[in-house]
Amino acid sequence: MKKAITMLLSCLLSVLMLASCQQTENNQQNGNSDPQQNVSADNADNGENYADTSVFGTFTAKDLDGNEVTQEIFASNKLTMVNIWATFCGPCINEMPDLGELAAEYADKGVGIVGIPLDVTDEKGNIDSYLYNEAVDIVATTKAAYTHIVPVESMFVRKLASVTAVPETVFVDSQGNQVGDCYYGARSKAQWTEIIEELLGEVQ
Amino acid sequence: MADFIKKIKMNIRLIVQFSFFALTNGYLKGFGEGKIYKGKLKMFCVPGLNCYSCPGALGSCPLGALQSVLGSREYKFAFYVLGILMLFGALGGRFICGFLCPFGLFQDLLYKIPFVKKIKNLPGDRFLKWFKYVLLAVFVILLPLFAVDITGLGKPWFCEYICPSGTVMAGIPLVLMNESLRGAVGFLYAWKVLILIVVIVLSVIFYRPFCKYLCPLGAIYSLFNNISLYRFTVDKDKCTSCGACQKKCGMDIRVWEKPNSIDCIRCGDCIKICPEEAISIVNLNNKNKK
Repeated sequence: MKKAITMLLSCLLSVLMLASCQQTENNQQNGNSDPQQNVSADNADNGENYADTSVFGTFTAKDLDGNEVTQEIFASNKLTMVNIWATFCGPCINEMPDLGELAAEYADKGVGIVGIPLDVTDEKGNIDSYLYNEAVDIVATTKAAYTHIVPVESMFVRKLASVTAVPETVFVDSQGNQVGDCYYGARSKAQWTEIIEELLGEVQ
Repeated sequence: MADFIKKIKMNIRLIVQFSFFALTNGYLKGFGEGKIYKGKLKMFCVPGLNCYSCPGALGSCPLGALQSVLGSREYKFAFYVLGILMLFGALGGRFICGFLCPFGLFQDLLYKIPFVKKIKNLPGDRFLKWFKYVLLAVFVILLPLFAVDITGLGKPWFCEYICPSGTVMAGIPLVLMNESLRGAVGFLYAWKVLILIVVIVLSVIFYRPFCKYLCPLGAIYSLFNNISLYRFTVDKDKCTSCGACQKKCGMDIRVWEKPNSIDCIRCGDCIKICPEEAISIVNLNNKNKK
């Protein structure tokens, strides 16, 4: 009898645990929204009369050196490789030296590389100063000497909240619209070169 | 009713294994979306080899947490994880292996699959048993601590290169459910799947080969078997040294000599089979209890 009661209590506990977990999940949902839903909001903000299909929308942010960065950063190149990384992510860090070299090699060919250290802020864009400094150190150590944008809330709403694994790399044209696929995971310098060449052909 | 209760008693371990798995991996939304739960509950480690990255997982794996902290730049010692491991160990030792670990359940079920011959131990069992301590020392502790990249970041070597529990609970479901992840599948994934397949095949023929020879978490808990709260005792007056307990024991332990052997996963089969009822669980009243 005692054991039966124990069993029943355990089952009850399981059910309660599952129920309460659904609650937690719902609270989290409020922060995320489908990127597509924000297109009309951007229209209202900018008075644009065409749908903004760019990956990151319009944003005003700073890079790791404190310089202001907006979506205009993409306009200066035909193709920009946006590499989303994190300070805790080993594979991200391992490929950054290669990305630094690629940035230098393609600088005069209209291809730029931009990094976004995802864990330096929370989803509202509040900076964690410890992780910020970590990111600065990592960039210095890996010699990934290109712009790294400290993300702001609009970028999370637009794209970053749906990033579930790092590194994730997307390519955009000068308007900030996506070119090619989303590339998950790290790659070798040779593999990235191949992809860059292929996508460069598409944006010419 | 009495019959039903008897059936529950006979299969109590299987019932607990399934119930606990449903409890710890009940995040059905994760399976629906192919995503990992990343909420507050993940702060807690569940006792078994239960991958953080399983879409249904509500808690973290203690081994994964240990490697993660040891591999981090700022910490070289994992107080919280060690504390949790010591708590679990002190309470039940390898009871966790027998009752609360999903990969243990997985192997138990595989062993039930009919096969031409069922063997208890792999050849070389006596030496292979120590391999899990080597894996613990090298892949869980030393490599994450010392094999660091240029920024001083280590990585979870056991999780990344070996753990078949992670492959079956997380690696395979996530890749199946996320078309985007399939681009990242390469040699390492193939290697991990190969390890899983080997463990699966062996588990059909041999009893719990991963637990016996490979599991670093079982290695940790085994150190507590002699001192944990939940332990066995043999009444020397009743025992006739018939060896029935060892015959029944999946881990091939001479129970009448070593009721708290480091290999014992506390399944309790020996207690049920002993013709003299000489083996029992030690309870706090110091009376023998069934």
